[in-house]
Amino acid sequence: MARSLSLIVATLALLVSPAALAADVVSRTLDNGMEVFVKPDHRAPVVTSMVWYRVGGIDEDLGRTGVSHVLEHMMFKGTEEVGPGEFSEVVARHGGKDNAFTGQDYTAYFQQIAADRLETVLRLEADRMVNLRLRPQEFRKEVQVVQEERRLRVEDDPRSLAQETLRSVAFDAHAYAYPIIGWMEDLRALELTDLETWYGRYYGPGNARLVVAGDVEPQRVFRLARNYFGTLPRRAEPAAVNPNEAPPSRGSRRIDLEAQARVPYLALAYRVPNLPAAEHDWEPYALRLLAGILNEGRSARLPRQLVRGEGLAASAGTHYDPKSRAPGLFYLYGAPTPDSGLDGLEDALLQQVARLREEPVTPEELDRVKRQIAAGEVFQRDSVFYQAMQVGQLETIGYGHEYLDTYLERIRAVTPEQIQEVAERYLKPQRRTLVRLHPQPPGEGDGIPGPGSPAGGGPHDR
Amino acid sequence: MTARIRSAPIGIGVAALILLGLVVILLPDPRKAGPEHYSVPIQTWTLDNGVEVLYVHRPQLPMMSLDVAFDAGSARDPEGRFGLSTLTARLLDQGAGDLSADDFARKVDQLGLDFGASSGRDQLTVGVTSLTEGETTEEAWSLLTTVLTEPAFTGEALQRERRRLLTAIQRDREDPKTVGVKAFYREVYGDHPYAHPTDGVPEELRNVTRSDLRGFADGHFVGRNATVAVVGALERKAVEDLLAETLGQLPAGEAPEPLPVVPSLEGPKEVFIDKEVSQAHVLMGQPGTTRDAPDYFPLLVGNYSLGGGGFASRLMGVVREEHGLSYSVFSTFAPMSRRGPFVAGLQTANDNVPQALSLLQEEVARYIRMGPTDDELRAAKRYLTGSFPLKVESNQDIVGQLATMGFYGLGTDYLERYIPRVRQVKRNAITGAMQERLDPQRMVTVIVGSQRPGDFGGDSDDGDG
Repeated sequence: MARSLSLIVATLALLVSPAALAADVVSRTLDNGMEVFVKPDHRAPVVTSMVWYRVGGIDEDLGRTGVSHVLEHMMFKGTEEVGPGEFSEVVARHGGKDNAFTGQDYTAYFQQIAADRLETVLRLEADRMVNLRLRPQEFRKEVQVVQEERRLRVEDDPRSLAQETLRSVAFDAHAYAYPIIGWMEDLRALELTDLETWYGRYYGPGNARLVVAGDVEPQRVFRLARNYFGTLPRRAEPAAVNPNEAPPSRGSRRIDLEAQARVPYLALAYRVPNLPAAEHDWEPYALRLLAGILNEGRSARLPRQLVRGEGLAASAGTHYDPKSRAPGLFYLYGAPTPDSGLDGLEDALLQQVARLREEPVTPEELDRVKRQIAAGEVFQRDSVFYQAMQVGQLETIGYGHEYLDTYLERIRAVTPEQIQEVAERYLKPQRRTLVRLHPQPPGEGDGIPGPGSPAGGGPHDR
Repeated sequence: MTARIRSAPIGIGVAALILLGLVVILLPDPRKAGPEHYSVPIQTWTLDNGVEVLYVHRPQLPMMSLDVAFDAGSARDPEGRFGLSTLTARLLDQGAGDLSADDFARKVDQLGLDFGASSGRDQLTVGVTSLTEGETTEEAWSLLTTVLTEPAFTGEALQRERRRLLTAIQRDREDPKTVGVKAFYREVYGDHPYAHPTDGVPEELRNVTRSDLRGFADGHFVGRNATVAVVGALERKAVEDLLAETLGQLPAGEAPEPLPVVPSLEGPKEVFIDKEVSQAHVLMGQPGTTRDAPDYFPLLVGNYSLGGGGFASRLMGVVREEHGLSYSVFSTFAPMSRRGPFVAGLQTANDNVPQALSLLQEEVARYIRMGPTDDELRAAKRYLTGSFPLKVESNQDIVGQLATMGFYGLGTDYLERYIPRVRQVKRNAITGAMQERLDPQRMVTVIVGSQRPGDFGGDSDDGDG
């Protein structure tokens, strides 16, 4: 094709660096301690509005696991003035969508709606922040719905079971070991008073932040926030109950899990630091790039060498998110090919890790990962929801949205030597847990794992 | 900073633009007119080889998104080669022109592209999102064109991707929902090309050869069979020139003959699939409507109150909110080129299946008979009109809408007419359309679970076997 299109370059007057795109979050703190963040995006006359509470799986105790998520469901069951289900009805009447999600580190409620209806949803959110009515009859039905949700997401999904097991073993004595959705036994034992305690302790302006992204002027949002949230009584902020860090990992663990699967699967995870726990503050960025070296795009090592090259994996991947309240996990996972089997895949993945410890990555592949991350940051800003999500998450876990301002700079600054250093320091056997899922044909033995099996990582939608 | 730039509303200049051959949707200033009057100005043109282009200029982010949709979904799989469309899509990133699979991978990653190809029943879609920095978009579209005109389809890649696809199909059998959906399509569509799964069937995938792939690509990746949706920062002129040099170079070819019409079901069918799961999946439905049918809007509005409106729907109200039987319960019309299915479904603990199923049947039958109440109709219209801007919020949303409009021939004024068409729907149009399309006496019902309800269907099917 002819390369005569210099006019494309001429249209680039609008090109801005990704870092600059991150810059325009405006914030205020209300008198009662609640924080408000606004991220204007005027491309379409809509907003995403979110209220984030700093409470999630990490705050829960064994015996009461899943309480944050059940309470999230109950937040739709009405207040003194708003009937059960009415919240969503009102939002829908205004053409909006609403839902909520619970994670390890937070619980968040959101609406996507026409920009001129923002006031309506803020009024309703403020109401349920302090006036929730926990009705016994609604609770009994809803906890049953959550059990169905658990069956859907975990019990009948062998890979979810494997991941749940992995987490429960990897963290020892730390709440990250518990499934966000809760153990089935805990859900059965949960009582309304548990929810009342949870609501009283964690729901209040001091433990919440409002994030609005979209077609709004910050001053208008601040005014509305003062009117509806600013008038709520300040409550004592909840002190952290659970220890932030798990005890150190004392040696590698393996689990062989049998489940009604058709395809074998393997996942392993290393205990790694988040930003505050890192020995050097560049470490989480180096780990992020390390994950990319293995799995960012089609040219990364896992797809190139394991899937295309040696045919040892039908699929393979990594996952690492440095954004969390407590130190988390660096995951590798995959499905073997019929030729490689679980043993072959396990060897291949561990060899990949060993190689990262033994030799520095090439500048060329590192550069490719950095470019992909930079492009991805721009592409993600196409979603208003994502913009609000990012700010809410960063503020709730305590990093602050300013993390975004320097993110790409920090990513660009990482060197091959630093990647080797984090691999040596953190990706070692003492920190490793490995789970292998062995398919068991239907009708042979006790194929269905009991409800005591463990839980998945991602946030749970309502 | 760029987020504050708002694309200028097009008002007075419209007549002039139409004279220039552009189709433009009026865009009053959203700030003054409110969200329901928000619209997106679409420009369309046709390339010399017949490719239809729909384009929206959105300068705020330094990126371009492009989707090209071909009438080449799994409904076009030849007899004996079910899965060919999906396999073709999966091989498109495995080398093209003088690039090996590894070269292609490196190039895509170096440019920071988001590249993907996938198949549904109607369409095979290839998309690429690129930064506008330097000549990134130019390179991206050029690469996309090479992929379509000179796919490598090497023997090695075929073996590997086929094996991975077979593994994915095997894995799908773990998932009770997917097992149920596959059985549902099989029962609803019988001998029609919509009946087989888009991923194909293992026995036939094993027979696919390189020349099958080449034949499928040569026959379908042609100008008269292509719709291109483009959204992003590049100006019209640049897009026009670049498309002429890239996708404009596809051979013109011919669009395939229309698919056969979907026959109606003769009577009810009940299928039970025995699977050791803690929760049963239930699906119920029959052929529904086409994407371009006149009753699309009455059915859209009507289904909102039945089971499309989440917590605002009857099914959710009864099955989840009143009885706590299911986490999710829904109904939907999935219109396609030919009649796509109407389907209602839920999941519930095995013991609860009889109760949940009869609630589902009763609510669906009652709704077909009586339609919505006036209040429900008002609520549905308020939601569907009020939420319209959310359907065209991001660049990616708009690309999706444009591709659908172009592919199904919905008219370039489709977005502009969306809200008025929703508003015009009357109660009797809904009951009329529901009764014409749906018959409670001829539903396909599929249960995937570990306990067959006592009186449920003779047709047993060991989907696990």
